[in-house]
Amino acid sequence: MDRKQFVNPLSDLSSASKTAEPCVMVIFGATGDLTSRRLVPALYNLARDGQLPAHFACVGFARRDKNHEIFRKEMRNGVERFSRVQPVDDTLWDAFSSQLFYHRSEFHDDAGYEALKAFLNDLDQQFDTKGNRLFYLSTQPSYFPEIIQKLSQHQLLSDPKQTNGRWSRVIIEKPFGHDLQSAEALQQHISQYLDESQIYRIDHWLGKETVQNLLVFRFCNPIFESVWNNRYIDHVQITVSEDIGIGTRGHFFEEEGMLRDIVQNHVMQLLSLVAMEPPTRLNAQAIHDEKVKVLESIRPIPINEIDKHAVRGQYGPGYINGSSVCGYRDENDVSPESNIETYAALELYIDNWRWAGVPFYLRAGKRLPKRTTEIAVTFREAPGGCLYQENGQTLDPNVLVIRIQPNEGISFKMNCKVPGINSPIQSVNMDFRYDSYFGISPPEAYERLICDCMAGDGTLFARIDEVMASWKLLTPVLDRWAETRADFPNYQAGSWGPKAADEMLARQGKRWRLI
Amino acid sequence: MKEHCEDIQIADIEKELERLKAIQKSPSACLFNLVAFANTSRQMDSLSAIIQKTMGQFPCRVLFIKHHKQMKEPLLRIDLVHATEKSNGGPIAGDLITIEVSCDQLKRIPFILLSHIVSDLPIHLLWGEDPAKDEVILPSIGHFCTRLIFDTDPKVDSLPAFSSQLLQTMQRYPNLEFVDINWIWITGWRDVLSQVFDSPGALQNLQRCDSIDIFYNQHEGAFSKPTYLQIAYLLGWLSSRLKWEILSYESSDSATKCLCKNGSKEFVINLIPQTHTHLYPGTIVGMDLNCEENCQYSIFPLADSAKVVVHISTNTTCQLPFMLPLPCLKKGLPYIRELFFSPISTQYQPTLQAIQQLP
Repeated sequence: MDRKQFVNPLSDLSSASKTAEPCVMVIFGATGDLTSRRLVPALYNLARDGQLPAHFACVGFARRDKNHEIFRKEMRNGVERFSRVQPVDDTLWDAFSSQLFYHRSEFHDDAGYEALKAFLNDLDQQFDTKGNRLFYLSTQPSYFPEIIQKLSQHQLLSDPKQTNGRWSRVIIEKPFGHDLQSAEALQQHISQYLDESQIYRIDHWLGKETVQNLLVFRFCNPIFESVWNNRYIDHVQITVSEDIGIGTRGHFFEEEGMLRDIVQNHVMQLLSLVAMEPPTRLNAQAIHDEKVKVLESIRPIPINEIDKHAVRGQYGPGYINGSSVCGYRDENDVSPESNIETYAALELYIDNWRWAGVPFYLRAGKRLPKRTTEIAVTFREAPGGCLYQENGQTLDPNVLVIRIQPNEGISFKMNCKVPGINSPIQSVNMDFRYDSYFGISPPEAYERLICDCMAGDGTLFARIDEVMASWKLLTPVLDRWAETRADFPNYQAGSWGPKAADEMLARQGKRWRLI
Repeated sequence: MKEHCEDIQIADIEKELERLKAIQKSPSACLFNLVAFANTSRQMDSLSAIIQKTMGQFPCRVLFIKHHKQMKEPLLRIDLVHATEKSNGGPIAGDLITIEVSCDQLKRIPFILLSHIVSDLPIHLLWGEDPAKDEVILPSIGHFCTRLIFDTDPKVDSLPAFSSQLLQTMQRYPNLEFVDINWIWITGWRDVLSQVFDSPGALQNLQRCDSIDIFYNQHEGAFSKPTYLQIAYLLGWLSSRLKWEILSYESSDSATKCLCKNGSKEFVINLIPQTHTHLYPGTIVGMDLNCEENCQYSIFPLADSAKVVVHISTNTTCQLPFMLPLPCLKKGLPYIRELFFSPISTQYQPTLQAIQQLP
């Protein structure tokens, strides 16, 4: 019997979660931060929860001189520092680390890839991983084309059209491209070697429980879906605020800026989840289709109006948590005349029946007063003058706030009468907090995403047309900002960003939420 | 942190709980109601342990009915605890209403429950014995409830009757999900076997086996005696999935020997007791499968680890041993999550039907 036709009578589909398939995972750039901080701790916790495939091995691929033991020791340190579950279980670690290996090579070295191929074949024999390969590109984006080409050249990528049951998948870290043109070029290059079904563009925010809950919240609570449109919603604000600066990432950030680093991927993903139509099915394709539809419905910003609908900022010296901090241009590896934005705000409109006339205000910034990510849906005021307003009462609009991080949860602001005779009306919050209900620490985003990739589920990864749609929208803004010098710095570290961002909303009679 | 008050009036339950909450300033959150029922002191201790784990993981209201069957004098006593546990996330707060009741007062219990359940939330039942035996509480509130979790210990020769009655009870409450803790405890072994025999060739080996030795723990634990139910579930599950027939069984001190049939082929399943003081009574501790042409499978847990080691050998080959996860579903969050949130297996009812057919 063909294995593909085999149905295991012992398998319990009713209770099984997605089954991650046997595979060898190869992490390119394994000596970087991401591997020890996120990837290996994620694999360890998957092993701990019994979610890692029974037949599994992991190979770190990098150019530094190490052996298996040194690599395992370094990964143990990473798990001890960064695993969400502590302490590390020695017995579990011993079993898990026996599946970790290191392969030293340069990314351009053909002999290194041939040796990798032989090594992976040995691991197939040893761990019965069935020839399945998961390649995680945790490297600088500039290496992606070369690595994928070499993998193909050395027959390390299997053809998805072949029916031998083997698969190979490639996880690519963001950013996918630098702008629309480079994203198209990258896609054109890698699609010579890979089918779209083999490419998993990771945006780790999509693995967060609170982000996944957006779809559940919207489509499992009919009361909210019935008012989720322009008849009831006044505007939406999406905020990604960080109180930290750029730390040691100056070199990287000078090439990127806030719009590329955060808005093009994370924020646009949040926007698509908030604004999309209900999918026809709960599968990857249907969900991606709806996300793309909404992204393509966003009105392009006219070139001559970019300054009106897009604001950039760069932090100067200021105070965070009472301590003085330097300005961006004084950070390490940053040019003293840098034109790079550490703050970006946009006013967008979605031209479809659901959202026509509802502005979406997006902002992302560093060195803002606090670390928070939230989506705030502000509803329209009571129609035709509410009775209570005749008596001189001022009413706050209802606001639904979805807190992505920290203090994960959802709150709803509503108006309430203060007890007493002739008392005013006061707004109060109905509040749901994840930690009060589900005190346990949920799986980290990378755990979910790696597991999904092993199971062949691309729902929580970005599809190419989503990526292109957001590049198409934002590339004109990037071009405009690159061509013109801004008057930087224009906001103090510890404040909520440049005045121009406030003015952008004030023109519509609105203002940013004070979080 | 716990605040408690004892021997309070029924009418004061909510007022006292509010008072205790105010003292701790605990967060207001509740995921579900849990009504627990125990008839014997062993059951009370066993359920107390589960309740404590549950309240440490999820905010909930627990109504724990301790039925003192032997008590001659009327007893209806209510004690309250409001507990706040620290977790990896935030604090978890919960209410524990303990109701000690004598036989003649049992009929009042449903009325107490109905007025003190937190509204709009799921109601889960936790029964320390076979739910088919209850004729007072379950008939009154069963139709409002979401899930019935139970732990029972039928005698070997009454397994078919137990199974039959349980199936009838399940039909009486079609909206209630029935979760036997003993079934949960073999989930890991079911997953392991599913993964070991996850190919046409391997499954064929299983279907053509000559004998299977299943080792289990006969040591009596703090809360319960050894139960054959886990073994029975495993055999019933294999029978129902693979269309085996159990023809007879015969017990001796050293083992219970079951004669089985698969199509025209007869084979033997030996249930071999061992003593492991650190394991729960009735826990399955390993399996040896002897198949045709000297093909052998040996599956045993790795010491102090949530994994099993699988050895497969034939006359001519000996595969490298490999490991599979065997989640310890008896403690911590996986256990509690499995009890309250995991979907009910569609394989459970067919397993009960297979046990019903035991000779």
